[in-house]
Amino acid sequence: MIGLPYFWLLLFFFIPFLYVFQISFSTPILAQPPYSKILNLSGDFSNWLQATLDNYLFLLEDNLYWVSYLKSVKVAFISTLICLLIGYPLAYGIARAPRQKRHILLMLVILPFWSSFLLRVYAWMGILSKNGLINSTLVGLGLIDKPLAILYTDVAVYLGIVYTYIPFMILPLYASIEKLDSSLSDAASDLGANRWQRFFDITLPLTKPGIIAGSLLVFIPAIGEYVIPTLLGGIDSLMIGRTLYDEFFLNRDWPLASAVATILLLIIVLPIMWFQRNQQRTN
Amino acid sequence: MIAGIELPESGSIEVDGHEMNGVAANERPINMMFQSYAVFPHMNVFKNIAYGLIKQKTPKNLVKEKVSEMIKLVQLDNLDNRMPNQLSGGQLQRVALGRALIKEPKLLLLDEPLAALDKKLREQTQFELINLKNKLDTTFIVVTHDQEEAMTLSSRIALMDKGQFVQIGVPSEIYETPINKFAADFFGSMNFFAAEVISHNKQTNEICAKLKSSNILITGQTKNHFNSGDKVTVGVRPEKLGISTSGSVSEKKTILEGQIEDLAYYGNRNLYRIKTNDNGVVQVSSQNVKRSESIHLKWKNKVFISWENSANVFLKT
Repeated sequence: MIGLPYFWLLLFFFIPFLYVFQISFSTPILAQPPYSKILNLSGDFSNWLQATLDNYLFLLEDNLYWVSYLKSVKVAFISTLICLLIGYPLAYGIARAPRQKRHILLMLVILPFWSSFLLRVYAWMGILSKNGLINSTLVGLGLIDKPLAILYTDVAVYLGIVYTYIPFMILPLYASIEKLDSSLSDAASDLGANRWQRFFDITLPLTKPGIIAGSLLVFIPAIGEYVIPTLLGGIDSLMIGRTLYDEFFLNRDWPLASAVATILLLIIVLPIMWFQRNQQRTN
Repeated sequence: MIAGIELPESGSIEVDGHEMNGVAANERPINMMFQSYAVFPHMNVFKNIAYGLIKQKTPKNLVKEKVSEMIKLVQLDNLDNRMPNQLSGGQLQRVALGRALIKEPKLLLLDEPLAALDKKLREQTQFELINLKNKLDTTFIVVTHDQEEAMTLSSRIALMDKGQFVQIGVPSEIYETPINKFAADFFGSMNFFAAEVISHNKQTNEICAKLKSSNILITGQTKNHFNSGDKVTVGVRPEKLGISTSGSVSEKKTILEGQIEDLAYYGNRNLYRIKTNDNGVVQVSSQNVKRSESIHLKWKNKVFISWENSANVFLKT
């Protein structure tokens, strides 16, 4: 039974990853599938391994990839921060609400998941576009002369990502705030701590696991996000998910796309490993 | 309310002559030790105890000095750097105590301070608490539902029932002259007999009453006021009753006859439940003074219960 999670990990993570990983060392060819085999067991035994690092070298040479990696990390990081700043007070409010109300409030957080993700992104396009809800209201009120360009900008991308992923931030935060013993805060108050000191001395450090879990749950999917930047972002909102898609499906350069995916995985795995180490140290 | 976590609807709370209504919890000269101890789990022993001082913006070297002193006082030497999850229940209790005492409050509130400890440790800690209190110039208010704890820890007891004070006094006063049935029953156990007042001399406080069930006359002293014909409850503590197989009549004693229905051996004492001839049940506790392997009184034995008139407590019903 102990082996089961590892078996799961092997089957659904490690084997698919190895498959992608080995493609990243091959060269693109016009065939089905469109890449060369890296193991050549039929021919001369001296050159059985036909792997190449060309794809990785190409990633280093071409600016495009670095720019989209950095852009992705930046967008994911800022979105995570915004989610945290909005999500923490919300989670706190829900956790401190009367017990009967909590379920309703939590339900409201989860409710958007009941409708299609794509549909909700399209709805945002309608809201943000030139003659959309926001612009027509602002113009109607006479606050602005001509419509603001919100759709197809970075603002729209942030908005879409924060909107989509904020429940993943709120739920773990709620869980850690809810189980916090309120007598700790009372004790701090008794010893002379004011409202803010209580928050920064007691509540914040003790809900750190929730903050880290929520941040990872937002950061990881946000960094590889493809749909939101494609639909809501402009030409310059080039994130790595989009680049990856283009390499695979437009250029049909599977080896290069695999190399992009491998590097992306490294960027994501590093913060998780940091989190795991952090968890082990606190226990 | 004393700590300032909740506010009173009416009335006022004064500490050392200073009105406390309108003073925020974090500004009162009162500290509290919580029932759950509420030791901050992410801070070590030193930081927990120092917390109150640091919030007061005490200079660093003074904090260090005072906390080291406090750590010695609550016997946590060499545990400064331990985290709370590395401490035992008794040690956690002392961290909470040290933390609450570090600001030298005028008043320390202890909410069920010993409830989370096992019996042996609880007895030991009771004495430590008393010693500590005697060393400090701090009033301790202990909230407890454990009557034994209340008796041993306190110099004054305020007994509360349903949010009202029932009786306030020194432990022996509450035990020996309880004001009503609740007070009598709360501290130790008591046998109650329904009776009717025959006469009450208000100058000498002497009272004479007749037991309803057996028409036996009993006398005693009381400061409660009764008129003849009033209903009265007579209470007698089980340890004040004597038990024997032969009865001798005396003016100073009351005697009831009965049959042993139940007996329990506690080692240091025996507890008998005796069904009296008038169908009442009386508990008798007798100290096991002599060392013997067999209990000479057996189940169903006919016995006499006797007690001195001075043991009678007259309570209003």
